[in-house]
Amino acid sequence: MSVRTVNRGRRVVLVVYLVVIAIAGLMGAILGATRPDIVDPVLFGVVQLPASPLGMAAYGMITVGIAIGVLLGAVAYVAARFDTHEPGGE
Amino acid sequence: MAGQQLALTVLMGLVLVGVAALLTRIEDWRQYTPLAGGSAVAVGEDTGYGHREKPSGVIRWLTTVDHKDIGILYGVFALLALAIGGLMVMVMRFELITPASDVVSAQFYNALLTSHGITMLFLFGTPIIAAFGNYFVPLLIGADDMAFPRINAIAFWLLPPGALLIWGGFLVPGIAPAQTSWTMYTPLSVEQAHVGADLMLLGLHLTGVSATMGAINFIVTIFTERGEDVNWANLDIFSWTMLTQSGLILFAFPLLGSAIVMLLLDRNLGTLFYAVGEGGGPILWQHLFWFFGHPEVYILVLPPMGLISYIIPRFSGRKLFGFKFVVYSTLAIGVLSFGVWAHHMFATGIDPRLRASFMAVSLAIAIPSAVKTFNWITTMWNGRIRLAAPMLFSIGFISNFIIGGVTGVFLAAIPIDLILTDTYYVVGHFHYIVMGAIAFAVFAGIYYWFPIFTGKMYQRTLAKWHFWLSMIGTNVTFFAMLLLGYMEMPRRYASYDMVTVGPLEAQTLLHQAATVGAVILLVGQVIFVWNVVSSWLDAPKVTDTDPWDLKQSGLFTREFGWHADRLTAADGGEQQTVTDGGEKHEATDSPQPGDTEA
Ligand code: HEM
Ligand SMILES: [Cu+2]
Repeated sequence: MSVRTVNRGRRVVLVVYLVVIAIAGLMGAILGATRPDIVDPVLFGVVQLPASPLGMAAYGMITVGIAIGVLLGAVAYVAARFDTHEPGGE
Repeated sequence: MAGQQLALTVLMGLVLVGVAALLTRIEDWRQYTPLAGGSAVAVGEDTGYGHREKPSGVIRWLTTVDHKDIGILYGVFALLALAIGGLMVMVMRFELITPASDVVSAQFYNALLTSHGITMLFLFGTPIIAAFGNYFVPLLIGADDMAFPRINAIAFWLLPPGALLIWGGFLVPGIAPAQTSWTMYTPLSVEQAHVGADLMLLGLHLTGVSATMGAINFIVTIFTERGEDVNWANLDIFSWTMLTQSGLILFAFPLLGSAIVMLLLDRNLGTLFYAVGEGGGPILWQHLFWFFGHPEVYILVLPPMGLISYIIPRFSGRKLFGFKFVVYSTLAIGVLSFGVWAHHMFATGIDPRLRASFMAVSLAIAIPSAVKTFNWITTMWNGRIRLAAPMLFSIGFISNFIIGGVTGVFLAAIPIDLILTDTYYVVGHFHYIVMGAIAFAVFAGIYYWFPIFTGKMYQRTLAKWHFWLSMIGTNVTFFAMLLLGYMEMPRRYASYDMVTVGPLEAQTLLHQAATVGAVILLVGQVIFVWNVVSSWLDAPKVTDTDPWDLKQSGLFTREFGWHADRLTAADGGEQQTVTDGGEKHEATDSPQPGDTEA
């Protein structure tokens, strides 16, 4: 029962990561479609994106993806370096 | 008039003396302090508490001082409150399907709104955490019971009268229920004449007293009743969060109690504590309320975080990564949570320098929360994950907590808050946490420990349905609310046909989406109730001493040790003559598949 691939953990985490990004993209798209008058997506304060559904979706997904992605990268790094528990794991 | 009052006062004094005299007669209080020595009573010794023989039937539940029974009482009470609060909000969601106010009157809507909030926070949230705490903290730390079993019982029994008072405005014909919203802002809450509001304030006061008594009990229990082999270094994470939470309760709830009494006096006796001009004004109430109110949200979230920290490793086949940091972040959140209350008051015109400092601390408190999330994910990263129901709810917790937390950080930025405050964005933000995270952790805990407190196993297919319906329902409902907030839909209105900001068709559509999500949630919870009740009554007894296969990964813990002892004890009854925890359970059968997913 516990004989599972180690990768299962990673897969689950990555799926959650993608779902959260998708939600951000969906929110951007809906806002771009309904309130183009109030949104002004400027990626990282430099790259101007169009205030359209697509532009807002890209804005949301890239911003959230990078912000949480940095954390996820840190998780991967720390897990590889410092997570010494359970020799049978890897 | 004056003579009458004097007579009344004397009479009340006499009654009090009489009660005191009666108490000294019927109970010899000294006999109830056998644990005062502080050292844990040795295994199998007679502890003097109600484990020996319990009366049967209803009397048992009315008189019990056993921490496990009280835990069950808290749990049943809290789940009933969850059902009532949930049904209240369903009426509200149906009202909001159309822009006009056509299902219930606006006044009734306001009353439901008020009662929904108070019910969920004070009658569901705090008590369900006390349920887990009472049942499991003594088992986890190797104590025979809570330090003060009778205070424990009193604390619980204050809740039902508190609930009746809180719902009094609905129950007593002829008086209108409170319509103050859960924040009870003055001057509205002083001026509204409804008797229901007075009853609600009294009930709220009782639940606060109850929470405070419970908190004192947890603190003393964790400090003085630990088993010999349990020290601060190996205290489990759930007990750590209960300890921190109890500390927060101790500092937050008494203040709420005082503030409520002042509000009651303003309402009924013409004092002017919160009056404009003579008194402290509405801002005084807001300061006092949020000095309690923000810690309250962490009071509600810390033990669920503890549950998640406890459960995730057990379904990842490995220890919690960075245990120490999870404990430190718990303590950090506990301290910082008292320094952020004014982020609820950014739009009230308080001093901008004050605002800026509260914004800084609010952003800072996101760090320990992120640390926890980081540790959960790292634990899972290299783990062998088993997607049983408790784990599914834990993963749902993380996902929803990220969304709730990120939206919270945005609100903590003053310029953003000034736009979004008092819109549905705020409602979306905190429901991602209170429903998407706190309630999910509660479900995870109920499923994880189901074999312990029922001796049965739940039906895993139903549990999965429950999870997916809850996850989808939560995200549909509260995502729609975040969007509504961006469209500047104000919160706390029964109708929105008069709303002049934002596109009405889109807003209506989003409200309808939120209602659909709420219905999905409701279906999920009906399945949950059915699963719990039918499994509890009809499922075969769990015979596996290690239903989650914890031994394989070396994560077998005391509460399951207790469960195993109960199974292996000859009579399997309530007499706890066997050890109450401990790690020495060689006499167990080989693990059998439990609910662990194939
Ligand atoms: C961790 C669990 C959390 C819970 C249970 C929670 C709960 C709540 C609740 C109940 C409210 C609404 C109060 C009302 O009725 O007006 C609220 C508002 C707010 N929350 Fe959270 N919150 C949490 C996390 C956070 C975080 C991490 C932050 C930011 C660092 C945050 C920032 C805010 C702000 C600024 C508001 C005020 C919004 C406004 O009214 O304008 N929250 N939260
Ligand atoms: Cu707050």
